[in-house]
Amino acid sequence: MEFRIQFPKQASLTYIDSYLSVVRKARELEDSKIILDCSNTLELSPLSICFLCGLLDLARDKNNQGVIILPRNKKAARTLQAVKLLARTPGRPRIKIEERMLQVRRIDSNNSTYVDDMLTALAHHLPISPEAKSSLIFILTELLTNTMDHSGEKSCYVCIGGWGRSKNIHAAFLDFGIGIPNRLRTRFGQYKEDTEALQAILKKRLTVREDRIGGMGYKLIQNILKANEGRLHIFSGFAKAFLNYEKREYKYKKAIEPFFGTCIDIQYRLDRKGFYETIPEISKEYF
Amino acid sequence: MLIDIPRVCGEDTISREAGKKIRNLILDNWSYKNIAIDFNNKLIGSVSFFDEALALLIKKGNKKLDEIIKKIRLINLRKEDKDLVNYVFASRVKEAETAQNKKGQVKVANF
Repeated sequence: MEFRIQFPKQASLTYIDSYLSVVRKARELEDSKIILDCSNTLELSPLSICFLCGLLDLARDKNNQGVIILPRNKKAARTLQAVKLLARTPGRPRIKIEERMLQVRRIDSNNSTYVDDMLTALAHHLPISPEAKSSLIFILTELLTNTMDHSGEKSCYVCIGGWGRSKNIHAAFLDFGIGIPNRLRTRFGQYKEDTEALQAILKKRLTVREDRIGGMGYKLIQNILKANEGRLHIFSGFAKAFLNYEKREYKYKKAIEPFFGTCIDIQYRLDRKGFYETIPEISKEYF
Repeated sequence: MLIDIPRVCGEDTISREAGKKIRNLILDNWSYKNIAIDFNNKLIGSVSFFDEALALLIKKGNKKLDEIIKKIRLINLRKEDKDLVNYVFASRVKEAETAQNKKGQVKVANF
């Protein structure tokens, strides 16, 4: 059986639902040929790269053959060529695309070195100050720990990049784990819907840990992005969160179909404040 | 007493699990006058790790802040990690103070 997936022209977040539904479909297929058709794709984002990498692995897991049709657009094609090579590589290699302003890795362990490597490589071409780099390391390491600790899937895809003259860094984080854990709803019965649970995770530092100590990671991530006037988008289970700290718009929506996994998209502004300029606590030195 | 982070934690130096390992090691060796924690300049970057390893010595290890600062020395710690440790500590100290103030208010109200 052959299954063709048409990738959208633009890399905008508007297409997130089509990416999520593609993952659902890819999970159902076995012993098939999955064609990821990017022929009309004009631009790529960390989000679309993460999905492409993830879909290739998903296809392989279910004994499917994953094929990428390269974009007609030359620039987009060059970026994707590196991803396409992976389909022919036996085993499960670590993904690394040496594109000038784009870095992507499949991370299988609890280690911040990968994130550090990616940002160091990007800093050769983008104006990432040491302070901005630290802020991004703190955000991405926390997301990595969350995935490894709670998703049930010990691997994730991380893609970080900057585009053209944009003063923003975009980062995407994708795992195909359990999404919002059921344990959260059994322990805290008041949060019946995923959207309510996600709001509580972000606002009330809700955690699945037995001792109920935690939730510091998302607090720090939000503090940094708030100060940075950046953006945070989360898609997990039935929940979708669109947090735009510049416009102070915080929207939570219920998805029509669930996504088993977690997808996070971040926008960090290189010309704005980050961790250091905004968190008063660090003015006190204990160590 | 020296705790070598890469040696004790191996590859995982960011999770709460790894942090807990370090906290337990610190508590097991609390009788030593000084405890040095050597990070070997390895990047940690994880608020979860630092919270579990060090800041929770107050809340879960029942140790006093000045005791901790006096006894523990963080060596070969990268600048960004040092800032993160201070942030985590400040957050937990603030939290403890708020909880204590609330307790005090309840007592006053009861009185």
